[in-house]
Amino acid sequence: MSPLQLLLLAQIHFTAVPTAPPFILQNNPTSDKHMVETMPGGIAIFDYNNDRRPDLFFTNGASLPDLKTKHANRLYRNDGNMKFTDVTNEANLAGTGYSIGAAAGDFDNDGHVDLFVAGLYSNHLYRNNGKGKFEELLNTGIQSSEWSVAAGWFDFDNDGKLDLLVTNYGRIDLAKPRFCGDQAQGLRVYCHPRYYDPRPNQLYRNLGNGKFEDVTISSGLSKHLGRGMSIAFADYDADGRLDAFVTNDNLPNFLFHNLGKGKFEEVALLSGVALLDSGKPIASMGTDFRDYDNDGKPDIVVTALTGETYPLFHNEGAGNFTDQTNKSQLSRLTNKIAGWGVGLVDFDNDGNKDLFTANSHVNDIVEKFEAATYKQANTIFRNTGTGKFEATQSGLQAAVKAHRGAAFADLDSDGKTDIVVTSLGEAVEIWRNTTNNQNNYIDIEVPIGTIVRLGNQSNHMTTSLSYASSVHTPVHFGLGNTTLIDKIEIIWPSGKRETLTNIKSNQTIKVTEP
Amino acid sequence: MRAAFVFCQHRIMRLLFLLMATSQLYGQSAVQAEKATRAKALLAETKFTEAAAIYTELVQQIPNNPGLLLNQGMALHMSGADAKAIPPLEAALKLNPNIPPALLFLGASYLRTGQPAKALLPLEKFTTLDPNHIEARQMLIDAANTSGQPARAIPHLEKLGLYYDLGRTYQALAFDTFAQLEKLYPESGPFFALLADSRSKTSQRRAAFFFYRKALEKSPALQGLRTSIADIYRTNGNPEWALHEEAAEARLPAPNCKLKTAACEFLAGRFSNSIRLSKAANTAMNLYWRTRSYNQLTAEAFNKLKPGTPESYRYIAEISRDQNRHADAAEAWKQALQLVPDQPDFQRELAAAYLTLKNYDDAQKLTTLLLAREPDAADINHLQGDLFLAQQLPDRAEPFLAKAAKLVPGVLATRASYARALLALGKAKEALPHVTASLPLDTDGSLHIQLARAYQASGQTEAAKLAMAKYQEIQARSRKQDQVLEDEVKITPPQ
Repeated sequence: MSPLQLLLLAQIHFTAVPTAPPFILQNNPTSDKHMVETMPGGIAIFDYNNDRRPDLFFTNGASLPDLKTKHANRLYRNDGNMKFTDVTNEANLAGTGYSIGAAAGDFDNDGHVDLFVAGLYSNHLYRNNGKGKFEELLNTGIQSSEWSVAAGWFDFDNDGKLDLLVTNYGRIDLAKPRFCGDQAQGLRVYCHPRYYDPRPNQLYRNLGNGKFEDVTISSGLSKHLGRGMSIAFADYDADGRLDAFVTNDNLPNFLFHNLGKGKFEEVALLSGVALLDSGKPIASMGTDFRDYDNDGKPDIVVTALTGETYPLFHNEGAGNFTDQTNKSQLSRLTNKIAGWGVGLVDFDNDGNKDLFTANSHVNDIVEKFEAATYKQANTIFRNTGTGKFEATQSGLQAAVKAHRGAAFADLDSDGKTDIVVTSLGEAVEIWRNTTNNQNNYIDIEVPIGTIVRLGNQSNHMTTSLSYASSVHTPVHFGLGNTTLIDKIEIIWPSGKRETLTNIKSNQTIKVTEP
Repeated sequence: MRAAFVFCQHRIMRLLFLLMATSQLYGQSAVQAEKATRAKALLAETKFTEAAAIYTELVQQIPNNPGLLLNQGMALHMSGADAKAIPPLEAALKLNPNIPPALLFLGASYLRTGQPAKALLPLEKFTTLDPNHIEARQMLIDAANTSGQPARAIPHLEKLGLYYDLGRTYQALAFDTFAQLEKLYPESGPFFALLADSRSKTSQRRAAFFFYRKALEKSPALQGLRTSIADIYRTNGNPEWALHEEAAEARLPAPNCKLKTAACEFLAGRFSNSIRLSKAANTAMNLYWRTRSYNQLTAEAFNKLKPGTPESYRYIAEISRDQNRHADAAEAWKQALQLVPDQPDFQRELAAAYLTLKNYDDAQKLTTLLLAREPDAADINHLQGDLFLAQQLPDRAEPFLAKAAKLVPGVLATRASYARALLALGKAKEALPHVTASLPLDTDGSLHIQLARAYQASGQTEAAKLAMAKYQEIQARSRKQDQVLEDEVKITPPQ
């Protein structure tokens, strides 16, 4: 085998799984071009039956504008060996209304991961009873809003109970959709986001007993109107409190700095994550909030449209971020694509988080207006470990679709992270990680909000990432050729620290706060 | 226009030799006659400087001879000493106001010395005396346009059948008249009516409706407003409301046209007359009818463009570009370039259209071509810089933008692009003066964000905060304006 062949074999590589569930995302496109048609596709990956295998949940659309015919959301049980069984009906998760985003989290601390589904006029909280069935909880205090896109679980007050943040996009009038496009040529397009009046996001404090208190006003969130798309959480200023980053479509992004005592301040502009250095708001879609350069501080990546690039904001410490899109090479690599789902994941277990993006333009007739394509292949950019990313021939190029949600988990228990992607009107894709190297890994199961440090690597437990999606799996670390880990440092949400020593690689360990 | 001017020089040369054969000197001595003959010979040998020196000497000796003065002026003009050519040519015309060559050379010298307004009168006189002189008319058009008196170009554009330029001239006059109306009568019915017309032309139905309503409030008797509103209702799917408006329009009293007025002449389709009458006084109504007349004449001129000619494609391309239909614009530019393959203006426009369409490869082919031909053209360097910036290649954009900014420091858009490139390259300190210079262009606050980032990166925290505050102020103002507009522009039933 030639050195080149060896090199190619060692590269990040994925193979389509032929046994992927037969789920087709029904966005229900209409001639009225309701913007919401472009938005569904949220995924949740979580182990609903505690069999140690991550299962798959997909949101789905409904008929427009009446919303009467529901295309069922779907739950697929992971039976191992990349085999999946549709358990939607027995799990009671078909849902109602036009669903977009999903968020997995054990809000009642009973050891069974629960599920929140966000959508048009209807948000739903499902409690997992631990026996393979979910019960929709009503009168919880969580409201349905006009147009919710994503949601995320985090314990903002460190009381041990997961709270919920829901992003809202804008005002919508399904009965009277505005015409946008060129009437003379009969070209109708999805309206620019500016035609949708922005709304505040909503924050709910978990009171226990299945009840939540709407603290949107008292927390300070209600003052900030945006066109919220996705959420990611991290303690960016290391003050022991989880902060929230929210992408906004064609408005500056939000960074809600958690001040404690139930208060947040919006600091995106001052911190440098509201806008790119150009100063122009972009169509910020999905996001992930993790340390890509192993300096111990969580950074932010965002997906956006063709020509806007995928911004990368580097955490400089002291609450400041700098726009590193150009320096990291992402500006050049992403200028011609448009993205939704996104994740900073170490796919080749070399200790550096790579970048996956699920791609497609929002405008389904964009070819008529510019040199861009609507359906696109997904991309993986390998983290070179020098603060830069590079393109890969990852095998994902075969599927050119209108991709939306993306989520990441080791579905076949081989220690390598696989990828699940939805696309409008087409079957879900599962990409098995077939990267051929001998690198080691470790998965660490800890509660949401826990920070884990291993060597110069840092990651934290969060289920909020990507576009309108959620992943409830252990925190994953690639170890390269390390077989015995000297030290793992754990910082619990309570602020307490714990150190584990001499841990063997290639296993999943569950750690609980002493 | 530059090509026309060079062509014109050739024509002047021909004229010069013709004049050399016919010009005579009166009351000259033998020595002077010999000198005159020598000067003529030098002219024939295109030794203009030497000829000018002899004529200057002769003029000193025989001061009031129009022929000598003319020859001196011509020789000086031909030698490139236009500033020196002007006094003898003027003196010749003082002695004899109708020497056609003196008029032509004087006009040409004024143009060359950057005094187009002064070139107008002699050139107008010349074209009256020599109506078939094409180059003189072209110079006159050039002088009229560059002196800001485009109306004076109109008869010559018509005579030469330059309908594209004629249309653009009328259009410019319409804009100017409208600007005058806005300045003098910003809250008047006629102003709102024209604003509504412009929105209607670009299919901004709701905005057009809003302004027609405002116009109607101010000038309820103004003809045509209700018809326009009816059109909007019909397009919007409210035919019964349209009928109501049309009935109201029919009830308006017909204008009294016993006396000729700008309105009556316009309604009768005599637009030039309407313009002439409207100039009696700059009332709101006169400015209104004048703008509309110019608009009509613009349309008439463009309608005369022969289909399939470069000008007709140019017209289509520009209309498409102005309506943000860039793919259509690119197609029309391509068609035009098939007919005149090396037309640099069309190539520039096509490159810009490709850039907007994100078709970077084809745009690059054109900018490469253009830069090879005009390496020091600021606009092409700017375009090339923007092209690299759009491809996220600030390192490649930087030298082009640096050059463009140096060539035309007053073009703020160039400074803004240069600043963006420098910022992307982490050269915040260098970017600061350029982003600061471009701030007058900041309508959405984005340049203040760039300024803030530049200050931050160069350690000027307080200045960064101020720039950020300014950004927020601009954003808040813009949101408020958007909200007001959104609330106002709803199509509501007839009142």
